[in-house]
Amino acid sequence: MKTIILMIAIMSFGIAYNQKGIETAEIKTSAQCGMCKERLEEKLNYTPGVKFAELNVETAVLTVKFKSDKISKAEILKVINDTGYDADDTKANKEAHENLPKCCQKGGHSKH
Amino acid sequence: MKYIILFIGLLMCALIQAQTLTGKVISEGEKGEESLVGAQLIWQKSQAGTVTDVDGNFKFEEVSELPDTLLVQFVGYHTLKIYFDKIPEKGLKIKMKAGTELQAVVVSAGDDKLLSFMDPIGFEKINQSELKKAACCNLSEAFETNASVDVSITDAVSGAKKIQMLGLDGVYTQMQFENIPIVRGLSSSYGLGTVPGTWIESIQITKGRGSVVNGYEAMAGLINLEYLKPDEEGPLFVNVYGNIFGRAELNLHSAFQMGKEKKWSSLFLVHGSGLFAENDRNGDGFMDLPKSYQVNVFNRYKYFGEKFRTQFGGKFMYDEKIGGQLGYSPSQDKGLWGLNMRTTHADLFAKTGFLLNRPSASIGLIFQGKFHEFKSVFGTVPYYGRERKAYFNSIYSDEFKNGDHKIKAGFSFTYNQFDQSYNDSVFSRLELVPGAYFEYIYSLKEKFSLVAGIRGDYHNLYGIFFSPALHLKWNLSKTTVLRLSSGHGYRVPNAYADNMSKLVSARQWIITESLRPEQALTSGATFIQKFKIGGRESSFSADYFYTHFFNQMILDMDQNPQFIFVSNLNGQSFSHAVQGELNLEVARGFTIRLAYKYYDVRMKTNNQLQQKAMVPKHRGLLNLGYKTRNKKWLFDVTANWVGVKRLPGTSSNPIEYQRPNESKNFVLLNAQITYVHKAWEFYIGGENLTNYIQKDAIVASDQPFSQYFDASMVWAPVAGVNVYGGIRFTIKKRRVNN
Repeated sequence: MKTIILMIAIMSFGIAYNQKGIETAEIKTSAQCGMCKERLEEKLNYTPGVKFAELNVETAVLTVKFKSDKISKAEILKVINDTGYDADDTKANKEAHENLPKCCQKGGHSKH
Repeated sequence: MKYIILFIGLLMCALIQAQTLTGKVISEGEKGEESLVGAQLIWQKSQAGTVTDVDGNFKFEEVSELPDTLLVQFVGYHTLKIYFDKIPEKGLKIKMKAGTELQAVVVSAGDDKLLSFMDPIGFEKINQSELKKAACCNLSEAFETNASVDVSITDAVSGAKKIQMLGLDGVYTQMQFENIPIVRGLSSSYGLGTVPGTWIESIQITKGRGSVVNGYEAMAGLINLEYLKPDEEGPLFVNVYGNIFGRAELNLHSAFQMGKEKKWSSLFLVHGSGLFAENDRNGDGFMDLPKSYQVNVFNRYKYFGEKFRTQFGGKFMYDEKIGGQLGYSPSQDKGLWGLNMRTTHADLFAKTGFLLNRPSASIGLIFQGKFHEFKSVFGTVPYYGRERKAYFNSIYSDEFKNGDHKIKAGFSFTYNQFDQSYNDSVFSRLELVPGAYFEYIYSLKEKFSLVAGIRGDYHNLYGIFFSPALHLKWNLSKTTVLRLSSGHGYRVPNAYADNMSKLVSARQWIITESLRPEQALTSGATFIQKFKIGGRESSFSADYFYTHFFNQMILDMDQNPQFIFVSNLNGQSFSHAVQGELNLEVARGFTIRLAYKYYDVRMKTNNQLQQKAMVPKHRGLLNLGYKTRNKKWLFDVTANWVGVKRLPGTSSNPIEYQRPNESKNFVLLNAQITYVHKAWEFYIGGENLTNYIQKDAIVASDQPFSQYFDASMVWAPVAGVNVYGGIRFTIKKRRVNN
């Protein structure tokens, strides 16, 4: 019993999240494949202020949970643009977009 | 590399949605394109599968859950893995490249452990993310979160660990490195400590008799280790580890790919470790863990051509352990009881595959050479062992009628020279074993399969070994599978080398007769049911295995606590093993594994059929894992419950050297936290967190030179809480974008 309580205590330490000042944004992106998902999520997960980012490849919607006192939504859009993707109404950074693998660039999927 | 991970960029990015996936599988040869008949296509997640028709076409009526990865397999061709987010609007054209694989094709999941669903012979897989749940140190920790393999401490001095499957000693489980037998012969007792944990890419565990292709020694199970692959690893990996017992460990890996088309690749694995401090927390005057030093180097090469592939490499290891009473040193005689073991091990391997003219036929050749030398002193008794081995195996495989019928056949040859001495007695043995096998595999689409294998070996000392094996599988539904297996196995025992931990005692060994090969029939049934909780994969599995020994080397420690009587089986010996396991993902990233095992292992010792000493009747495992959604934090907690074990009797000893006839129930609790930051991983963890220690583990620790001394009566940890921490740094291989 002692053991089980200890296990639960250790686990809940992991699950417990501080929810203060946290906002969630849903951003429509131009991402279109699994490679894009990996790239975007890694980029955003390592952006200070972002709790986590998850891309739904089917809808191209990126869900971002972030601390609003550390980063704004506009700054998050800029990070996405700088990675090479459109985000809501802001356009991708052209150079970053061209550096993406062919298949991840806009229209890369519709050539066949 | 088992798979060629092919990123068909255009496919991956396909946008337009359709429920039906159609396509054609073709081979790209010198004569141009040819359609492949009978190529297998399996979705990794949903496990739905199909086979191409006479024109090479295939069709999936309904592709349910995307993203998923489609595996395309055909004997004689490199397996393709294609990732889909969406179903493409047009039909697929899948090009396969010719090439032969020596390993059986394995369907692997992206994460954690997997229960195989489609393979004719069932197995469980432990992959890297599972292996990382126990950061320390070598193969014996790799099974910590797995319920099928039990790990226990062998004695109170050497610190060695040994595995058990089906309640049977680890020697009855055949251990392989990429289908080459290892950790056998003289290395069976301490072999797990010679494989550093970071070297392992994945482990496949088969319960019961495995395939006949790899020999006659798999009785309780077959464990195949896949080491890291030279064409998949990056230029640098570093792991630094330290714990509060004073153990430090360094692992360096480096791989590079050579040539214009990167057909050559090489991988170096370097391991150095040591335990530099003397620990005695239980206050019995003996080190809880031995001081140790190990240097371990492995280098492998791979050539990856169109029609020809080869891999070769070698390993060198030197390991020294110094244990026993505090202050013991092998170079000075201070009148202290000590244990000193020095192991030198070197081996070489080569594997070559050729494609024949028929696209489905291939030949694989495996060669291994091994030198193993073990010099030791247990108190005042020296033991020396040297093993020289050469091993050859060949595999011809072919298939007919769209892959419904497959065959594997080949010859093997083993040369094994054993030279051992214990105290004043010297014994040597030369084994020459030519063998041949034939295996037939029948598959009825994804519904049913049968693997029937026969094997015959001629042993120069013991005559003919006949070891057949049969495996049946039914996919009762898309989420239910039932397997049956039965097989006969043999093993030539080595009294001392198989039971090294029993040398850590004053017991006198009496080998009452010349030992014959061990022989057992293992049969079992496995049931797997998959289901979903809120769209997340979960599974329940249950199995039962029965092992009947026709002959076994019996170590009788029950007659008299001052003796070990070694003999052939004279009576009954069997094992009934039942296991139930539940794997759940209860919330996103939060997994639970719960397992219960019941072992009824009995053999005749001291003239009565009784529960085997040191094997608990009941065992349980609870593993909780949590990964945060940003993938930066990983939490893992494992509890192992070990039930009561029968202990060899000590009632004839003086009262202070008597021990109970039964051990106590106990729980071992381990936990680990990992933080990932880009290329860096930081981990901290604890073992035996409830600090469970067996009291008075060593009998007569105050009189180690008396006839009552016995450090082999260990049923629980002798060292208390361990806290460790470490850092991993990885530079991944650069991924080529198509």
